[in-house]
Amino acid sequence: MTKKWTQSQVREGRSVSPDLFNQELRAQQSSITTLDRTQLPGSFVDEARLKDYALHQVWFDERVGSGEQTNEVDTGVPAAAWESSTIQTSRGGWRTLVETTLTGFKGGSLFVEWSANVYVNNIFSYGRNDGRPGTPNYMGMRILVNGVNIGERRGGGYHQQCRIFGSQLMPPGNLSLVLQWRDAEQSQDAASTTSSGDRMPFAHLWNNRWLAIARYR
Amino acid sequence: MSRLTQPPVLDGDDINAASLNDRFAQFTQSGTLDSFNARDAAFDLPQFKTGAGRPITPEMATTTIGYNLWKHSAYNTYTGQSTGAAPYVVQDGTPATTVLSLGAAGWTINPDEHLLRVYWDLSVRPRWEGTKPWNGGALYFTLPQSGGGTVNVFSGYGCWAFWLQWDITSNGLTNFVNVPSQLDFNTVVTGTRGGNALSACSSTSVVQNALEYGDLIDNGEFTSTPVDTPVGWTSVDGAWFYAPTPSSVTVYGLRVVFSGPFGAHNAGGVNYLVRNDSVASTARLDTQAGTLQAMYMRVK
Repeated sequence: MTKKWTQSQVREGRSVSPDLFNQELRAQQSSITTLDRTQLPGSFVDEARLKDYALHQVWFDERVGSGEQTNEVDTGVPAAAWESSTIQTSRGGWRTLVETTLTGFKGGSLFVEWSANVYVNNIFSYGRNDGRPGTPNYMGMRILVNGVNIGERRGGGYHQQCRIFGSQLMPPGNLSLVLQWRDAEQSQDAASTTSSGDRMPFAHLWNNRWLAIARYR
Repeated sequence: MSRLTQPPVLDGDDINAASLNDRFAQFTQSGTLDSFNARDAAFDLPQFKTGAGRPITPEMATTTIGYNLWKHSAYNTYTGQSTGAAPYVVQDGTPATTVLSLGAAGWTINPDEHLLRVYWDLSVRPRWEGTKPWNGGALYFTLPQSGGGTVNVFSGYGCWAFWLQWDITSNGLTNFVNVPSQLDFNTVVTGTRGGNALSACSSTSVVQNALEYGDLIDNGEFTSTPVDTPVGWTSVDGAWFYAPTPSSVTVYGLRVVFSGPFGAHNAGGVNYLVRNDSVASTARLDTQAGTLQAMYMRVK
């Protein structure tokens, strides 16, 4: 767009002073700085015209450590099993797999997803002494942001892939992200060892990865 | 928004038409709306570029994979594989392999700029031929029986494994290889059985291939024969993402492959997912349809 003189046009033979021009320049600047988003052309916001983190921000971990939970690792399990959580090592309650900070969050919508393969031992779900329908085991998973639970699921009950996600509007500032897992408490009828004395594995998570996407407006 | 890069006109400055016109010309914008003008969040949706080159997710693609017949009245059936086998590729009803093409130019994923995200799902039915064939493999625990003796029970580790392969050579899609940090389960781990450390299963998803449990277990002892329940038709899905480092990678296609039966093994403090060659011939996997979707997004 071509701007026009608005204050006093320069003409031949006219006397001028610095203020005359500064006045015009300021007037034009004022006019141009009123160009707001409603005047921007359609489809003009592309990669080249965006500042980093203008609209969104992504944090991720393609693999949490080796991918496996390391909260409870019992080495006394059979060879055909994984060193994982057993009755002997289980602390119960929520165990923290990931605790990290989402730095530079500017305020807006936050989406978090967490995927993993879970192993849950359900051999002892139907006990004589705990009554039907027994105590089926599940792998509880939850996502906490600044201590707020934004996604929690009962999770897998077998050896399977699981993915949970949650989203929440959050205030500006660095955010605390915590991913936690909790297997169901074992039945009183569950065996704690095999007949040869190896410890019985009950729960494991592997191939853990997470992704957080902030959308700013 | 618009900026003046020259100082204001001051007393004593040489004033002539050329210098004044230069200053004035600064206000004549030629459509240069750059990142300085585009302030944080100062946009409405119509101003976002659509199609290729979108600012947040430059590209997305999706396709149906597998045998697309949701009645499950017909399906593909695969037999278990032994160490050394190349994995099966998800096939349609022809049967021909089903892949996700990312176009002739592929997608170039740059370090510290992009994240490749892949999601997929597939309808499957794991099963076995014969009676409790897993007891011939390393797929069970031996547990005490009430009144003496022992009983073998499926450990729950037994599964089919699915993982991703990509073609980063050309859109001819004839050069698929495993995605990074994903091996093919053919490195011998124990005896002659191949497998991967769990840390080498970056894109692996599993589905359990048998359900067996005790009925009325009494303080850790089996009081009756373990109960078997068919797994039936179920689904398996995957979510994988990848940020290249230190170099860019151009991806032309993706596909889901699978093999089985697998089980657990540990040695030297390392957990493995290993093949069960001795019972592979009795394992079956029926497959139906699913979807394979990919996108790459800017991370900042």
